[in-house]
Amino acid sequence: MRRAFRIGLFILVAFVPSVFVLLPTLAFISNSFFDVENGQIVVTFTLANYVAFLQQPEYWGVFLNTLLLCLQVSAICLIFGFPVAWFIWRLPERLRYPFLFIVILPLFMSYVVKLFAFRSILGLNGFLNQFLVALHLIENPYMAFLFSRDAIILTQASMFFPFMVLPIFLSLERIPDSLIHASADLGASGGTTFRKVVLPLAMPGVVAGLVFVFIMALGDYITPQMVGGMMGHTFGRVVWSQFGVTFDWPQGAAFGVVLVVVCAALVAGVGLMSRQKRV
Amino acid sequence: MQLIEVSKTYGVEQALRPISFEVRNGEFLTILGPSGSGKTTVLRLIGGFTQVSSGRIMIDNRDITLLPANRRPCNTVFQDYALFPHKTAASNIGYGLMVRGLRRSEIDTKVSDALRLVGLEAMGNKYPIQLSGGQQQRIALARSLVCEPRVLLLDEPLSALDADMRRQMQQFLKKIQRDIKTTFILVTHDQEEAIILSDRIAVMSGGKLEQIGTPHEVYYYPQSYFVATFLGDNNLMEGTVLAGGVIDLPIGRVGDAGAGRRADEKIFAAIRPERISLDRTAVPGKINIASRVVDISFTGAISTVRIVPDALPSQSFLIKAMSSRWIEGLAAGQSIHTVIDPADLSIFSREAI
Repeated sequence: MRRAFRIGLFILVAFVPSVFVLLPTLAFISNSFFDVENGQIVVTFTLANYVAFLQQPEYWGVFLNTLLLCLQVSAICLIFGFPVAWFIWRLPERLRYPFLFIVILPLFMSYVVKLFAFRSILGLNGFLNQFLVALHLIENPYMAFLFSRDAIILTQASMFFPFMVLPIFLSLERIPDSLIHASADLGASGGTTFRKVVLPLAMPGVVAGLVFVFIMALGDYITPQMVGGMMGHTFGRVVWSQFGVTFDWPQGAAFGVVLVVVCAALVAGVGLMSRQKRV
Repeated sequence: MQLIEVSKTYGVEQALRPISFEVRNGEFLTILGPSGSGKTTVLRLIGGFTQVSSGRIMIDNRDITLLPANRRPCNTVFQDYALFPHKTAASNIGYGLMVRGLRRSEIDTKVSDALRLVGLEAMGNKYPIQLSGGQQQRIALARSLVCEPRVLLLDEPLSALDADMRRQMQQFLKKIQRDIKTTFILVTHDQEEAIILSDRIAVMSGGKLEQIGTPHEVYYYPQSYFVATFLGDNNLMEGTVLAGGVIDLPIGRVGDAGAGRRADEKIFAAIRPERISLDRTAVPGKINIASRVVDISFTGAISTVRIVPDALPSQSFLIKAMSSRWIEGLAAGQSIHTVIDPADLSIFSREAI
């Protein structure tokens, strides 16, 4: 009787992840091996989709370019995110969470609304151009802030910024005050304490932040569409066009599998590295 | 080292009232007090982790009050050990030396000497997480000592250890201090620890220094109500000073004990339970009080006897004596002489300051 109850409970609990996660995943993986003929999906087993990915520069070239772009976005997030996380950490206790909240606030806003906001900020008559002209840093409004590769980088870095700040802040917060005191007690200056104690202990947060931002940027196909224009062609758009333009779902599914494999490899690789460091 | 009128206020709260005392070279000083007494604040002020609100701190006649923690000739063993989790034990110990810029070979030598000093030669390559509490503590100690500080500060270092480990570490600390002759300042709330380890004890309560003296002085001659009652059990009597230095106590008049005090001064007289003796007959030359046994408690090697003087039914005395056959044979209600040597009385003021 208890056995039946336990099985029933398990099925109940496993239902949601199975139906909403496992099954769709299996569906699209299997789709990647199908073929398309005359606009119809043919259920067969073929590696043609993957071969196409590896053979055509429009595919693997764009993919590599996109990886590079996501690296750039992660790097920018790190360069700006770490000082912000550090600054919030050094604030007196009662100011920390209010400031953190300000950093997280954009996450409560609609993604698409933020994108439109960036379009208007980066545009010819947008805030950025007006600001630079007013400061006499440029003569005339600069066209290429919007609808360029840089626009994608700028926009994605801004939108994913909280995802860099949070993990770094959390790992900084875990550092006991006594460690900082101990380092000073042993004669270290603030700079030395930062390099030898704070930074190494913040690394898990840094790595987590980099992985989060990278993966989110990689999967983001809307931003490149909205602010990338002709020059901002990313792999996300390639995938999207398989579903929305050429109607070659198996091809799109294959691309999707490639993305998942790359992200999984990244996370696994990072996990392996961090297991080596921690004793 | 000297603290001169050092005080600390956090906002509206005065954690430490102006306090002054001296620490002698090579001594083991314990700052003893309950939580909130300000003892940890004193340690943090000496170490430089907080700034004084007023006063000065001198070491070797040098004013270090404004020096930041990393430039003071002190090292601290923290209550949670504060070992760097991402460094090995050896790397932890060598940290202060590395900061100072010593050569690799020198650091290695000093680190292995330090590991040997604390008896953990084989543990150099282990990470703190792989070490037991006692081992971590010894690494923390080695890390501080290897920098050869002028003063070693210890913030309740033994409070996280179990009773056996504590006793071992107490002996260990005492021995090390004797061997290397560095000045130790240890903060604790454990009176037994203070008495065992220290050359002198500074008793604190409510942000104020109550008394500073050798364990013997502080224990047998407390100079305030707090000190008299904080360390172990004590018997207290209220009295008044009369003319000529005579003290009027419920148990009788004691000459000379009030010397130097003004007449009419209200005082306490304290006497430790183990300094009171019981006898069948009166003992000449001492204060004898005819009394009645109220109860006897056998607690192993020591027995506790409570008596009430016949003439003072409202006052009772606690006596501690070795559990001799005679003591064990006492019965409740039995008449007995309670004998007090006036020289064992500690007199201190009962008047509010």
